[in-house]
Amino acid sequence: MSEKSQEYLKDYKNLLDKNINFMLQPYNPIVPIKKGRRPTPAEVKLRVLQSQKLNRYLDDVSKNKEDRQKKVFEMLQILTEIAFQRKILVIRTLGSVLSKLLNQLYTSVLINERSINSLKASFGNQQVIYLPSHRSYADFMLMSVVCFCYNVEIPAIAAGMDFHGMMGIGEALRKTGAFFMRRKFGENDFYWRLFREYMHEVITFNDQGLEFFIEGTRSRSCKALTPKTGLLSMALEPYFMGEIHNLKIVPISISYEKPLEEQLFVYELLGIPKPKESTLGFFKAITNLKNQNLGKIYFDFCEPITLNEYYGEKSKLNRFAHASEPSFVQTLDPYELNLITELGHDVVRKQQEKIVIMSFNLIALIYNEATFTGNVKNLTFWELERKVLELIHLFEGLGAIVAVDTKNLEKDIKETILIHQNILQVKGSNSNLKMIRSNVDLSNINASKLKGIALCDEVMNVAIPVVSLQLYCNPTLFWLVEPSFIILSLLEENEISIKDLKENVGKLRQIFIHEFVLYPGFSDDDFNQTLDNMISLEILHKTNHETIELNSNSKYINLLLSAIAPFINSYLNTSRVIFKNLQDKTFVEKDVFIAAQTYLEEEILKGLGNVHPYSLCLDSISLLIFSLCNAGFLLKQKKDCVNHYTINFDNLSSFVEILDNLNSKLPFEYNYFDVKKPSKL
Amino acid sequence: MSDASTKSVNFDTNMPKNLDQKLIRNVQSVIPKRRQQLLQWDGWGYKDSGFYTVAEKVYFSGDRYPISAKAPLVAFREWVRTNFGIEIVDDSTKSKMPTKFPDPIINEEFFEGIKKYRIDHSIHGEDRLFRCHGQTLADIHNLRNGKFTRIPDIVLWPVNHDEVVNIVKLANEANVILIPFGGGTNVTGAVTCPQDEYERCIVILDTSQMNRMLWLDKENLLACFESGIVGQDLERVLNKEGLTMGHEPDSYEFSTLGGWVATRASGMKKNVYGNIEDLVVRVKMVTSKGVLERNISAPRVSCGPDFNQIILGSEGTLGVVTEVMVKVRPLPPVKRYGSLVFPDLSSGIKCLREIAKRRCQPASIRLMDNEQFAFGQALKTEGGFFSHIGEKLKKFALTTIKGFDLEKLTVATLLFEGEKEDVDRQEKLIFEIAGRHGGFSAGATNGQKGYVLTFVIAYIRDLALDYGIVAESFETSVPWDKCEKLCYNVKAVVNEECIKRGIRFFLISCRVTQTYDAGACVYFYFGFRHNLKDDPVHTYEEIENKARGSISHHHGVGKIRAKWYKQSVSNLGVSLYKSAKIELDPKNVFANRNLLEPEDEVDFKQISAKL
Ligand SMILES: Cc1cc2nc3c(=O)[nH]c(=O)nc-3n(C[C@H](O)[C@H](O)[C@H](O)COP(=O)(O)OP(=O)(O)OC[C@H]3O[C@@H](n4cnc5c(N)ncnc54)[C@H](O)[C@@H]3O)c2cc1C
Repeated sequence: MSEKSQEYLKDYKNLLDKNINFMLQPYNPIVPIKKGRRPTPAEVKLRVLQSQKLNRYLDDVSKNKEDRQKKVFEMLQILTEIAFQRKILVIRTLGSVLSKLLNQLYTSVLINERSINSLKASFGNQQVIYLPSHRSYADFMLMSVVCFCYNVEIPAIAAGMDFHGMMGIGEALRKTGAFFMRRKFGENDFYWRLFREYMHEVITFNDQGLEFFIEGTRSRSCKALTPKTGLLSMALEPYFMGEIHNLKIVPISISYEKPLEEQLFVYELLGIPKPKESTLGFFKAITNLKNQNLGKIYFDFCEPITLNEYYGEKSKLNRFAHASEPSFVQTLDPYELNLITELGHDVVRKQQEKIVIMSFNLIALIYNEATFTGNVKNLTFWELERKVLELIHLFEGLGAIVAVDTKNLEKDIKETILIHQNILQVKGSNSNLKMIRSNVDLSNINASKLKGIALCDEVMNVAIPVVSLQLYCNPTLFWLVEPSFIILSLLEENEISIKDLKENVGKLRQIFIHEFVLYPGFSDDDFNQTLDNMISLEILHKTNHETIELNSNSKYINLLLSAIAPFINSYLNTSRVIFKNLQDKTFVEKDVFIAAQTYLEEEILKGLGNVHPYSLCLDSISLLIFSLCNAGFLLKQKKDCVNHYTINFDNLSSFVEILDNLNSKLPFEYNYFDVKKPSKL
Repeated sequence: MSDASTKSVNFDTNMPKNLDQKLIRNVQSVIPKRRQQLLQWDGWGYKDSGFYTVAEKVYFSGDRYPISAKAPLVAFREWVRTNFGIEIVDDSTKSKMPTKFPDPIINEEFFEGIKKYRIDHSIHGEDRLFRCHGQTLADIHNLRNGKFTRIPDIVLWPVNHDEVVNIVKLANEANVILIPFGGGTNVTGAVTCPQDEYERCIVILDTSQMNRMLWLDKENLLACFESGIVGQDLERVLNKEGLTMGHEPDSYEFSTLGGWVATRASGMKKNVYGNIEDLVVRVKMVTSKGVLERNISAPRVSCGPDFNQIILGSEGTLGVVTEVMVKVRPLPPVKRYGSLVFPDLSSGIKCLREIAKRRCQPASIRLMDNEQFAFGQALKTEGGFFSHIGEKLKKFALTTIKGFDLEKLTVATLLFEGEKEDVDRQEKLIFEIAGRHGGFSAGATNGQKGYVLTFVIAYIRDLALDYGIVAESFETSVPWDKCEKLCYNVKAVVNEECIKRGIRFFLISCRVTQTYDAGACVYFYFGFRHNLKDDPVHTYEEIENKARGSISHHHGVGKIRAKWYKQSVSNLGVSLYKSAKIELDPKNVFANRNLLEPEDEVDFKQISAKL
């Protein structure tokens, strides 16, 4: 591990070492924005009820006085459903429970103390929005525990209604600052306005900060998700309207050695829906975890984005424009919404940059590469150690933070493999790394709840460990996608001009724009930065001022290609299926799921290694459909709130061709296991 | 596309603004889009309201005003007989609108553009004729005698600001004339088509279909309306919210917010609410060069010359007013009428002067001279309206206060608005001041009737015209020290001129309608019975011009008062206005030719040659 990473990791302190007593420790939190007197949660509610905007709206939609009364009552009910409270005793109780859990489940919870302290030092006169990455339900609780331990006021937290439904837990969370948002409120104008107004008061009137997940939901695939701008634009509206002078955005990166929900995610990705959250289920899940070790968590506040500086430099934002009319009668215009989208992408990028890469991430990549190239038999423990060191060099060269204890490398690797023994184990006299086949019996699963098809046990048993392993590759893709694209574009080329290279990479970015959240506004920066880094890493050579060639001796080439391979393979498989099976038809997403999984199941059982089992994941299939629509390969029409698609014939064939071409450049086979053909086929 | 359009100007508002569509209120107007369905085509007001005669009795028809359609105006025929020597005969027929109209001159490029943008339009003769005029005596005379040779070619009904932007852009590209049209109530020839314009297509931009309330901010007491909203609609919408704008020109049943801004209108209740220039906070005007708009709504700013003032009074010559942000007030809890009687005009004026000096004016205070008082008597109904004032006063005057001459006395009408305590206090003070000038209170009902009279009087000119009497009002504002003299002199000049012209039957009467710190607005009614051989309208204007010494208090300039404009604003003022015109409308699209006399007009041919 380089000095840089080491230096950086020094600032992390293990929360579990602190032995905090949540019931007794004094809690005198500091708030982001100091007011003469602290506003109470009840006052926040009251202000919403009195707002001119809502009252004008009520006047407009009510038929008569009675009707209006009824609507006011309805408003009160909804507001009660939404609003947060602040009860210190509940915070303490929940904190105690959580800290016990953390102690049981994790070896360490590492907090970047330097970043939290510098954030605290900047508090005083700007409202703060905390935007954590979202990989686990634990994110939400963790943030509150960290705030408590460091005497920062726990923010108001926008949470999904699924929590609200959990008897007892929803109400407990509410008392620690959670407020609840219905999922599909876009369709209910009345609710939407009420919620927006609530957000408005949380930002302009309240003093404790706001927290929500900009990705909208936990990323099941552990990749970044496209930022959702709905909540963000509500939260930013008062700033754009000039109602508050400035606003601080704090992205937060939370990295897990093993997410609580690992296996649930895998099932969901394969189309077996998550059980609806219920209190009972929640406790069951927790007790199930009891004897597990989930390893480490890294928790970091990124460099805050101060909007005046951010928009002052980058855009011609003119907040004065809104001053000429009352802000409550205005909405944001498309230019401003664009600025917000861009900010959202910047936030996600900042989170990603600070996601800490741990040894199992590297091991997962190494295992995949070895499998694809048919070298897995040679992957001994010793070989693994060597490769891990190589990869640390690669990631640090690309700018990532890597937390691997190189001084005790053997111990580090052994521990992490133990934590992930459901996926990989070291076996045999050669100490070979081996993937563990699952052994599930899904016969009593209700097939009607499935999103795709009921995959046979054999395929499931292969897919589960493969997809599980991929969940540890995925967080590293933020760093690897651009280099992989560059290498892909250089394969079979001698040298190429930087300009052409960039254009080719641009085309690849376009295909995977949603898969890897490749915001077009960042493409220049990403490309230039990556190019420099790859030259320093000697993966590329500059042949002259304007041309580039691949260093075919670089040890990273196959690794980088193997990182992107499952996605190229998956996109090829799915688009081929769409092209072949769904011609001349109008179809919905589920039709694609079924067609793709049916085809893939067959292929996997053939055991030819031509399809990667990750292709079964519905997540990537959805994202591909989205991409195809945006690019005009599929035509979309909304009927009864469901998207219906048809193929734009000529174009799609060219798309399949491009992917076919890419796939054939990859010298890989995807044989994780010897497949046993089930007797029923 | 022409060269001009390629280097076309930037029409985008520099300030992006998205309004919450849900908070916008549509307003159902009393006035239909096809005005001919409700309004009189060759006169004032509603078709169903007006004077008519049955069985030798004169009535006022309809139920729109608090004057009974069933009770005859008992003293009216007698009054007409005495003053004009005319017998009113039975007649309730209404004139028919013509069926033949001048052919429209259509600019195809423009017309195609309008269709492309799907802007509501008409080239129907009735629609065009209905919008070729205002309410001057000359306008009505020309209508009745079929004398309009040039009427608009196309009528457009844009529905919002953006459509107006497109229209103005098209008009500049295709070189047509645009005349903004609000309620058509101007009395200056302001919307009347230039009768010698045969080169260009004349397009009326009727604002009536942009009349929404874009928003209302009750906390700051501000509202934003589209400019085409008609006065009575605006008040109705605000009243429902417990608010009022309080701007009530006598034409407010028909005139529009945009019209008020474009003519610098004045309302009866300006003492409490202010004139239009006091009420407007922000205004958006689409010009040929883009949108002119002050981007701040702070209550007051110190920010160089105020360009709102270029928009106010521009009379459609610089652009189209599309949206106006105005101040509103809570509806007053108490609204109370009152009246005062004075022995003569002089004492009445002195009283008003003192009231103005102490700045204790009620919402409205108006002083009528004796002729108008007598006319009011003539409009009393049997046992109903206007019935008391004469009898009671007669008795009162004869028995109690000696020296009151019924032929000389004058009456002031009062309207108080506010909190009860404030109104009580104000009323007491006014009566006290009146007392010092020999006046006394004549009760609330008389006051109220006085104000109703205002609306009814507007219909009388149409009846008069039927009997060969031409009549019209004109007004001006004057410093206090010259007020009484002005009333006297105008009457004297009119007298003299009439005698000179052998006019036997005429009436000249005056009324002080507004008071300010430094002076007052005086309003004259003048009518005479004409000899059919002459051009009566011309004679009327001649006499008015002899009598008049200055520009209007609120009627604006238009075409018929352009000759007073230069003297009012100085030569330099005129060239400053012309510079603004050249800057904002370099192709003279807004060529309704208001404000400037023909010889002062900008030579746009020369300008375009230079471009
Ligand atoms: C019986 C009667 C009583 C009256 N009483 C009063 C009174 O008490 N106080 C008073 O001030 N006036 C009074 N007037 C005069 C007249 O009503 C006002 O001048 C009024 O403001 C005109 O409004 P309008 O909407 O009818 O405008 P119009 O007559 O349609 O137009 C007047 C001028 O303004 C322009 N214009 C109209 N709308 C716009 C727009 N949206 N953008 C740009 N230019 C526009 C037109 O081109 C034209 O030059 C009275 C008139 C009558 C006939």
